[in-house]
Amino acid sequence: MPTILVDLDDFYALVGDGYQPARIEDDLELVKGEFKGPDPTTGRTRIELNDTNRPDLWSAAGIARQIRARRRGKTETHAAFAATPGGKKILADAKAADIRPYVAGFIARGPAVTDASLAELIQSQEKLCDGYGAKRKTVSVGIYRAQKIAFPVHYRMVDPRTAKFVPLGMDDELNLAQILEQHPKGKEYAHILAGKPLVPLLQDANDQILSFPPIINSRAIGEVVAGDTELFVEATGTDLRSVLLVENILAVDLEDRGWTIEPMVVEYPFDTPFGREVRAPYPLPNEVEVPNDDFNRLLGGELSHDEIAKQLRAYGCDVAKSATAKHTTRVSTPPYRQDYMHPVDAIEDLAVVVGVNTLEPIWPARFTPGRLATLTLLEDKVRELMIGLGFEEIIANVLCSKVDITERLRLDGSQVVAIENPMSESYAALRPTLLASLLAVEERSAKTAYPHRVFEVGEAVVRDDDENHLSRTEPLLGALVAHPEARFSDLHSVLSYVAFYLDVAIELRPLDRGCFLPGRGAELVLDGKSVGMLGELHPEVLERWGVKMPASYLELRISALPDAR
Amino acid sequence: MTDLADLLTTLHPLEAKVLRALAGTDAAAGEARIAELAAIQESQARMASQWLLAKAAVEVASEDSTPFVALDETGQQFAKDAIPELAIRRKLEQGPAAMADLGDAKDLSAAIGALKKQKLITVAQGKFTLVAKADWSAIEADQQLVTKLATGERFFESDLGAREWKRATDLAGKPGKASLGIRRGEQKRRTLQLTALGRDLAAKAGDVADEVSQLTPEMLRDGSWRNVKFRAYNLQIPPPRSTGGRRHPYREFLDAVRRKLISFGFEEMRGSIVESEFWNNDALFMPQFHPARAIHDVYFVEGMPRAKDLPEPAASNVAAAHENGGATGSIGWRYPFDRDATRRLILRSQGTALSARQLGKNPNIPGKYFAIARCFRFDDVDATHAPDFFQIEGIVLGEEVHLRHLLGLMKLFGLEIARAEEMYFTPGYFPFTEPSVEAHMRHPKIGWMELGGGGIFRPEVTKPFGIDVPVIAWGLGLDRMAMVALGIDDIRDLFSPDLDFLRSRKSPILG
Repeated sequence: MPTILVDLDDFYALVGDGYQPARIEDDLELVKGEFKGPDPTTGRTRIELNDTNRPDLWSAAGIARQIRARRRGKTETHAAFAATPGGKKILADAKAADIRPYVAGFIARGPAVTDASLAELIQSQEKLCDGYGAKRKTVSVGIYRAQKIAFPVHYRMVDPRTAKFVPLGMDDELNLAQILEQHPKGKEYAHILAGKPLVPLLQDANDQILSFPPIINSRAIGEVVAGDTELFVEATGTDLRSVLLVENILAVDLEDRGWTIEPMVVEYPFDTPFGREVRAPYPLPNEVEVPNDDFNRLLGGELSHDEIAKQLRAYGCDVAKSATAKHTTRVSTPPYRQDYMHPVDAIEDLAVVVGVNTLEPIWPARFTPGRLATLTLLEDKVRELMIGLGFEEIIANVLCSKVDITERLRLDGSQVVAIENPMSESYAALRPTLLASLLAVEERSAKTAYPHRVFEVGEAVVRDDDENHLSRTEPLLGALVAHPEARFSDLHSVLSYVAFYLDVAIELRPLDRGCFLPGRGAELVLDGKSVGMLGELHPEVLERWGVKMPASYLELRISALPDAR
Repeated sequence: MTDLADLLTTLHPLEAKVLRALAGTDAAAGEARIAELAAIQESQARMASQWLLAKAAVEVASEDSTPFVALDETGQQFAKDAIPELAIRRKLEQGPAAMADLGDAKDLSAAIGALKKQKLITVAQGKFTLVAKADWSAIEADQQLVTKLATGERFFESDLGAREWKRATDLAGKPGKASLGIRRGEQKRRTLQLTALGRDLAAKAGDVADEVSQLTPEMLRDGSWRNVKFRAYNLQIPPPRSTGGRRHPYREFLDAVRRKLISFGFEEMRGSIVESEFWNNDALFMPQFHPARAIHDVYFVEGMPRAKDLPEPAASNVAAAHENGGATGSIGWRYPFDRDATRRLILRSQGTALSARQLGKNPNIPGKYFAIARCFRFDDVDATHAPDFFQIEGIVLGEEVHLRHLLGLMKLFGLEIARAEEMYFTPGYFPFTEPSVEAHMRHPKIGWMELGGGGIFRPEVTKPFGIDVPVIAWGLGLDRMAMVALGIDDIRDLFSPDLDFLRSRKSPILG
């Protein structure tokens, strides 16, 4: 979800027609945008855009275009898509197919670039590359001073040790391998090219280097400055449709700001989904066929067909009868959108332009019986019994540290499901027992008057290679008593009380487990199966948790009880 | 005289004993002496004296305090081992040593400073050396003092020699300096005497002792209760504190939400915390290149294991939905679906995984389902991010279900669960719903806040499971409301291990 900065005056001027909204929030609903107030450093206004499928809205020009369409009842046609390519070409490389296959570009001529419009352009470029281009992996963009380029431009795959140039932000000439190692952008994006023997390079007809996509531009050609009036805007990437969409968006944004777009053609020595000669901007189709009844059926509305068409046009869509199906509408958008996958996408456009607040909320009419899961009912029963016995409930996190289980509880770690990519060692595993959670309470609560009688009924996760997910999520009862005379019998008596009311016959068998004093630990057995444990905590364990009070612990697997099934 | 009578009826037997003890002696007496005279515990004497002071039946006759010195825990350790200066000397006797080699004893740097000042050690090139033939007698005297102080609890001036007392009080008087773990205290002593009121009370207090404080089974058996007088209680005495079994306050909140959802006709869903990417993401039509699916957004199970099985034909249908729409009426995301990555095991990052699973379980139509599910996100833990958290969400299936029903439900949740005073909706974006909305509400205490989001599941989500009716999906963000209900502003406190803190939380009635 990108957040962009806009200059409100510039933004209002882009909407045009003397636009001066009383509450900008209302219009931002059209673009799923949230008004986030002024940016403290620049004073510009922050707008967060929530639709990751609508990168055309990630700029002041894009938002303005959407608002303008509703104010005018339709959107304008952009010349960029109809214009004939001017003869300037990009020649692609057969070797690119396995590396970074696609490239596209166009020329823009217009009013001299200003500091403000340059900032705007760089912002668009960054948001598109980061948010839509998967941080340059699938799409990256380069913008250049076109006057300095001798066309055609070559998109070549080269040995990273051969080519060298002065990259933006540096004073010395570096070869491509050095850029990947030394330049901040090289280090940031080197992973995209990891393992590739050849890497992409853009060069002009005189072998001048434009850039090393997707890493960095050359300082000589790739540094646009205020006053420039002719730009070369290219994109490279791994998915041609995404590359073309980004070019389309940049082209219409520039056109809306008064620039003229001269499309360019890329010649590929291999087949692409769009042929061997591909222009940019490209008239990408984005259309769906919607059965007429579906609009009102999904929205619960009562809009006439004419009203639906009128509203969709005011959202910038084109609306026509389907050429093939009866009672069906073809809805399409300009080529800077690629978000129509299913008719529901056009139906949502209708909901947005009509305004979700104009739809009257109603309740689902059909009766359905409410019901708790059996497991939850059982958990609640156990909770009720424990509370009746005077135990205080705690709720702890499921994530714990591995050390808590293996070293501080002296348990065997083979039952632990750990995390491959933990954020911190403190939360690197799923708890297989509630004992660590309850000892954490004791660790923290020495100042609270004793006796302590605490319990949790909560989920733990135990490794189990027989299961589909190699683990079981187990709701457990864990109960701990701590006081000067805390004994095995305290919780043995609790267990027998709980077992009586749950109507299960649990036997005890000797259990030798590190967390319990030898000879004072028991395994709980129900119908021959292990369903938990009970015992006096080993002083070594108490010491490791800084607990200075004798304590006993009971754990019961709630999901192993007959009623859980 | 009525005042006196009132006071007498509520006079505690301990108070009566103290009054009589004071009346029986000419001199004012301290609480220890009173306890002795009244044949009660000193703590009882202190308690009863305090009550009598409040009633102005006794007054303080004299008050003084006597200074003493004592060892704290650090000092006890020094007495057992050695004071830092001597510990340093022992180390340096084995040869010159750097700061790091001198260990990490408490007050080490202060001790080094003191030794340098007294020219007992020197430092050159970062190493400390003992000064030859230096006079360590003052240091040794300090060690003897500390050792002596370890033999008792408190030492008054009379217990120590004059030089020892001066040295001990000097050391104790310098907070933050190398005080050798010696602290200073004042033992307060006071004597009490009867006031005029106290003397009147004491004269009559003899009767009180004959009053009975407790009804006993014997009295009931032999009827003797008829012949005794029961002492009236003083209602202002604070009772002993009770603690008892209690639901966790956050549980009360979650239970209240559950109760509401049951009352709206929702059935509960439960499921595994370790989840496959298939159910967590792919079944929800989140493309495998979606930014929220990167390694830095979800937790993977260690070793990157795969789920053994995925259900067919659902798994193939979902793959087709991603690649080209399959039979869902969609063109799909149009990328090659990774059939191996979809089996990777992760920690459930969204409760919607349970809704996806429900779609695969032949759900009721019409049907309503909800879950309060533990979820895990790759985030720094801070005041707004707990290591793991509960998500509340669900689905509604029905032939005739549409967007206005979603709005109706969200409104119902706002009014009935969240106590919204006002609500509105904005269009939202979730990869698995279209259309999508976000609900905003005005909470009586928080003000405007986001209540949650929802939408109608995309056909790419429902059709792979053979579900052809619209399915509403919704989620509620109630953590902030739970925090307000519990009176906390750090989300980690929802999972606090501090019993005092938990005991101090009230039990609000939650709708």
